[in-house]
Amino acid sequence: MTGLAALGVVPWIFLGYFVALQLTYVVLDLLALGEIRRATPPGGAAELPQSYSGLEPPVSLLVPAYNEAPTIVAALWSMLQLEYPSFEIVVVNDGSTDATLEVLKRELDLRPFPEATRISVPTRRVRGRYRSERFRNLRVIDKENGGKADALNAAINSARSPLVCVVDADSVLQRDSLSRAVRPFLEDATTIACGGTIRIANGCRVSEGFLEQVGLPRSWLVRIQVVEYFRAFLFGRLGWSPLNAMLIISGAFGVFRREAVVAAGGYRTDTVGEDMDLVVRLHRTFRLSGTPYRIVFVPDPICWTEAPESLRVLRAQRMRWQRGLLESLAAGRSLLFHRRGGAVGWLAFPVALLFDALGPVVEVVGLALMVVAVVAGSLSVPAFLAFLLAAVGMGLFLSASALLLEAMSFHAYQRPSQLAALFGAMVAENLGYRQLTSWWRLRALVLWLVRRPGRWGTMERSASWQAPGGPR
Amino acid sequence: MAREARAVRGAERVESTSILIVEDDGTIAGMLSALFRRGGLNPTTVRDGKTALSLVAGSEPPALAVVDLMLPHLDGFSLVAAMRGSPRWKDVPVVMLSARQLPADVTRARELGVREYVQKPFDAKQLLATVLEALGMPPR
Amino acid sequence: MEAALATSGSDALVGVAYLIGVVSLVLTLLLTLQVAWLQLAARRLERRQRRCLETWRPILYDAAMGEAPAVPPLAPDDEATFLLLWNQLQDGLRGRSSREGLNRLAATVGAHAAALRALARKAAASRMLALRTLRYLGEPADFDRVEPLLDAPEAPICLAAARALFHIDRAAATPELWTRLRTRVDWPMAQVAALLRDSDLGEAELAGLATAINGQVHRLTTAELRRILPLLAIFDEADVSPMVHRLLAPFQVPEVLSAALKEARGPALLPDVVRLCTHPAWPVRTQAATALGRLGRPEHRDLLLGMMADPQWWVRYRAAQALLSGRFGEAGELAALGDRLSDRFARDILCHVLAEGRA
Repeated sequence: MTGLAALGVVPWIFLGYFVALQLTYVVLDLLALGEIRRATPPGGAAELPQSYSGLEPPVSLLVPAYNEAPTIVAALWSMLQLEYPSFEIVVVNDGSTDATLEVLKRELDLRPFPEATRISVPTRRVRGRYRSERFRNLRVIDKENGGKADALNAAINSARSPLVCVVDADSVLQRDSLSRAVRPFLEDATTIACGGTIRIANGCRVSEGFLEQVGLPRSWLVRIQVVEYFRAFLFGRLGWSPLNAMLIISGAFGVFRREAVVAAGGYRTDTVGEDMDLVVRLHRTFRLSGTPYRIVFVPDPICWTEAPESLRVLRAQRMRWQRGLLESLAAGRSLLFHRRGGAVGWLAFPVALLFDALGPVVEVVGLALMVVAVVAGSLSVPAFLAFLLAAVGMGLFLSASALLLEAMSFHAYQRPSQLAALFGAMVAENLGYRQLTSWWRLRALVLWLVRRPGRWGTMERSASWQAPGGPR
Repeated sequence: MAREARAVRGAERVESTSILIVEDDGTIAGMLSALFRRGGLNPTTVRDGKTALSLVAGSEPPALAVVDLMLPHLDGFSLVAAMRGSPRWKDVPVVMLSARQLPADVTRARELGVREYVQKPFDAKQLLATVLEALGMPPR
Repeated sequence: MEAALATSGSDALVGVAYLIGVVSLVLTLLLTLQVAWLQLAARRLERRQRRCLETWRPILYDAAMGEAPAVPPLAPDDEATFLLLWNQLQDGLRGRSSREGLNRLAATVGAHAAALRALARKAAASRMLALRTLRYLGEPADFDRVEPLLDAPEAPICLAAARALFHIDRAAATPELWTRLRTRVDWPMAQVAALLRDSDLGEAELAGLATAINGQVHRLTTAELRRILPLLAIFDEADVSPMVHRLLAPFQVPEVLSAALKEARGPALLPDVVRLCTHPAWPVRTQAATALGRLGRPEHRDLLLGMMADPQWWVRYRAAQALLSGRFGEAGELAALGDRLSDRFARDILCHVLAEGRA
């Protein structure tokens, strides 16, 4: 009897877990709302950048490139057009096996450049350094293949500016992306890193690397991801920002204080989630040493990225994100409930662990148990539907609140038909998509636990180069 | 040689008061346009470098171009360089506007044969006088 | 598990789940309605703004060209857009006739009253817009209205207020700014310096501010000194050299030495700079090398060549840049000298900086 009573607690635990998860998100939702109110001027954002003109520190844009021969030049063209007074671009050719270096040499008129570089973080061997005769603020480093993190480390060694901006070669930028992301560094001298909202570029009109017009993709698979990105950036980033406890800045676009990155040891080369890993390590380095610092998030959409349109690519992306999350959390575990861990160690870390890392387990196991119970006849169909209603209802509520914040702030999707499509995607997400991504994440968790590096070895590398960065 | 001679004749046929304004800021572009109309000129406004480039490729050259340095898609220098490479547009006088005051920019402008490098914010009356002078018209 | 779900607790559980689901769905519906309403409101606002721009742009252009155009009444809803446009033109244009024309227009439409209304609002953007407007209007009577905003919690608001105050009355604004500089660690000093530089301070005001800083300098902590020292860049070298000399004294901590070296501009400070070229802290050596590039004499060439073999990259880099500053010989001569250097670090860094110079 006591055994049965103990078992009776199990469904309550599941329900309690979901309620705790939703409540956490609602709190983050409210924090994000406060941030948006603070950051968004009612008369449009046009006036703000002007108030800072002339005071921006120089920025080094770091662009890792691996087999990007067809697109790299167009990407660089778009970066050269950024509205920012003083920046340099450091492209790193990470041992590409295609004609990336040849294309760069031809199009940019590269000449060997005898650069006496500081080695702040160790990297694979650098084969050559070049500077463009056409664009004097553009340099290219040619090095042996070592992965994206290693390429970024080489770029950090070569960067001259106090701020570095890490940007994916396939990111679609806005001309004011850089000035918006640098603003927090001007407003607070202890800022060491800044991320911004990433949106999905599928369906938008893009011309030469710049966004011309916002649009929604036709594919429902991508539309659902648009809604997902809303939520991810509001709950995962913006809500945490006022607590100074944001755990990730997307690899697609982020600005860092160079010295801080070097102090944290640069990018780690043995993880698939080097972007999250760096931010976790920055928190750990500064928290544990007691140095005041801020890692902030600007809610402005500053970078648009191509989302996967096929299930196969989406699965690879989600499994990679989940693995990156687990690796970063494992590497930074000393922060968890650390005496000096602050909001990171006592809130963000436990939440990431409980809901992001273990969420898929609870979700998949909970669903499976319920289905089994219905089939076995111990759970009535109405009861099953009630649970389903609760889960779907709470998910919808969060998506709708994300949609509301979007409409209050940027208002990128303006037509009523777009609103209807987003609402449709919100509902559709619950019909299979959510379960599928949970399943993939669960698989990634299991794979990580049993550590089968052989299966990850080759796939992980190509994925880390090809899949666009985004929310987790 | 013959083609060049035709090009020069072509340039002479152009209406002598047409001004091309290449400026992305709507308020400033409107201001420039109003200013030049006031000076008896006939301004056309383009808001980005690429559209301006298509004009260089396919349209009659204006009597003068006022070009902002920081433009979407194609910066002012690249646009002027393209103009210099076009047989019909190569002699169009250019007044460049820029909020940047880097010496390297001024040097580059001189290399490209830019007639005047005007610092933003600019003095409206002075800018009009500069443009009229470049066109060989009496100041108003 | 089956037994568990069959226990009596499951009824309550199903009830709770049902309730959560229904409440969530109702809330979702309400939120969606609000989104739709916001979209409608945004479209209305956009249409209104477009109409406002169409009406006021030509009028503002005429005013900026020094004319007095016919002016319709300014609707309360259009005030913010008008002020934004008006400020954009003030920012974009120079020259007295433009300024006066725009200010006349502002007087006609009652922009001053509109700015005061915006100043009273809570939204930071409204107050920013108001402060920018009051700055260009430059009404002496506004000084006392704007001054309290120097104590606003948001640094950008404070600095916008300071800009307005300096435009209205430089002499009165200078002490107000100075008394707050020490406590407001959140004000970006580069912006304060830019503000002072843009304010065309007269000799008397500059000397007064220099005296004020000088009088307090020994009382400031290291952190305060590091923050305030960049401000010295706006003063005449003669006004600040004695102060910088005191800050370059051997007992100062490296942070103060580095910050003070950045402000070393007078030849009187050369002995201090030379002494610090061998300081144990490398950031100090880096700044000393840069300062030597500004102040050094040909006899310091060997000192720089020695620094180019420093273990720290930045010291080598700045020393090589200083060497090529033109004070220590022709680039060609120095390049030849570089070839004969026995130290590989020194050769590499010279080669690097020479290549940069060819840009």
